[in-house]
Amino acid sequence: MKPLVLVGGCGAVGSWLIPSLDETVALLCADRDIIAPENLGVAAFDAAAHLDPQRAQHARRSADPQRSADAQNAADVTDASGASPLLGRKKAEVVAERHRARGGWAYALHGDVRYTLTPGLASRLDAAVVCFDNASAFRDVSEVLWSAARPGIPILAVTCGGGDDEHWQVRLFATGGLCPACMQSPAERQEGTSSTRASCAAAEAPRASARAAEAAGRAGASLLARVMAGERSLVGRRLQRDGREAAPWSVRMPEAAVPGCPIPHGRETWRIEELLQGVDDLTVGALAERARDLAGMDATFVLGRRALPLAGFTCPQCKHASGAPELLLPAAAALARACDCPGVLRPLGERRTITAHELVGGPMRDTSLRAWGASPGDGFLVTGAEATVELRCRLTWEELDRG
Amino acid sequence: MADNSTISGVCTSGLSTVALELQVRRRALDNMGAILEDLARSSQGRFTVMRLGDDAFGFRLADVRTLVRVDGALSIAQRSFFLLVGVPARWPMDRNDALEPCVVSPADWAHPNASGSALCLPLQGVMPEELPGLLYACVSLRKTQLDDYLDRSAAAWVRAHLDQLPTDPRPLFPEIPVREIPVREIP
Repeated sequence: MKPLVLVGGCGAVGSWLIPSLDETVALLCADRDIIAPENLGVAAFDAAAHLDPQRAQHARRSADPQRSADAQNAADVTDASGASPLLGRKKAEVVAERHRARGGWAYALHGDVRYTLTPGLASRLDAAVVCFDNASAFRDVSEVLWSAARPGIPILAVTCGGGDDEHWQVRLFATGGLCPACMQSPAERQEGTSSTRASCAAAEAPRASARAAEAAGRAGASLLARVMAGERSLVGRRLQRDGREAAPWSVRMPEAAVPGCPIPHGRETWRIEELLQGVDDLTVGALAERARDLAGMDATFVLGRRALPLAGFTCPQCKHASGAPELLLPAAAALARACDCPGVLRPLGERRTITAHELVGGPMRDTSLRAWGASPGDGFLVTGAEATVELRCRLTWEELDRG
Repeated sequence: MADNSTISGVCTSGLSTVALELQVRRRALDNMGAILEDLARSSQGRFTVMRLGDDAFGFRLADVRTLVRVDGALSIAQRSFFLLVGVPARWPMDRNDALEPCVVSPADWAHPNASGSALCLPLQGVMPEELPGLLYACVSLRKTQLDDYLDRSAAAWVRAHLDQLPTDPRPLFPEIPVREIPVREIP
């Protein structure tokens, strides 16, 4: 049976990592972004690089050694008019297609991992490589993997430097122990906690260079292969290279979870109720009824970092305000959009708890869970006077196809 | 030995952490709501408060003289505000999960530290008693942060019109005159 690996973040580092993986590995490619012009020079979205990365890279460098890798990579993916057919396509879909073209097995999870990476999917993983450019996504993935994935599976966090110096860092974790969120600062842990929070000191992640992303991707793929081949001594280590000429070095990370880490680390267990229906068949009302049966009439859905919009949305660009349907945030934002501005709508407020009573009697009662914003294999934590229980939807791969 | 199976009358024995945290959060929201309603009553109608489930409070601030942007020009005008103060997921368990304010209306309001509905007003460690005053200080431009800002033109306006600040000099809580009670000598 093929090992199932999650690749979280299919941009700069992830797009270089995937073609370096063995095609016998089954992939879940997760990313929320679409390909923008600035990605083309950095990420490896071009077919040639994916089909035979070493040959394509050699060809590019030997053709014009004076040109930077960024410029040459950009040139590979643009046509005569300068436009690329890849522009505007979902990153996760593009890299999944490339893996399938090599004879591999891959599914794309397009969207925010907070909503697309579900406990059902996490429980089937054999490993994960996370290459996100933001602390919030690292925390979201940690939260799902450390609560739902099998204990002890390897998780690699791969990052690269911003310059052209082929600097990379790979941290190797195993579920149940130290997690990526353990290593985050309090400020990083707060990042992305809320969509409504505003700060005057907005910051942007530094952009990676193609050389650094490529080096990080290849290092991540090589280390994943070694860990999956049984080299478990790498787990709990941070491996790093500080430049093209420098030799990689490693340092041992803390052995146990860091106090104050918001990830549960197995402290809490509750009953998991496996539902017999998937997100396409189950309605919101039926889920809420089941919650009341199991947790009591006061059953409350605790959504954690997920949320429903409260009091509507505004567009950050044109400031247009619109009403909010009672759906999970990404689904609600997609329906509420009333302008053509790029970017994500901003909710005025967020609801992180909702009672089963509200859902049973609410307007979304007959809506399917998929239309409500849930993803295949999704889990909902419900607490009430009688019990705390996680309702987990059935997961089939056909459901991922339908999405 | 202290009995740790109850928190303010709520039985906690046998509860999961999730259920316990939800109980604590609801109790804290109840307390906060009671304090805010008391304050609202003493404001003589200047502000009202409403609880929006377990996730937010709505504040209505009536007739505040504030900075507005009409046809691209900034000026002072009177507006009534509706602000939403969101309660994050881990409040009050995690101090970093501070309350999050945003301005729902008026749409033409301008402030150096606001952009549309988004308002940069850190509320970490703020007690419920201080909250209405802080929100009022923000909308009446008593409180501005000009080192970092979200609205460049509003920041420039504030720098150029410091003599007109605050835009609404009235206090949120009108001082109620203390009536002198005559002292009568008991023979």
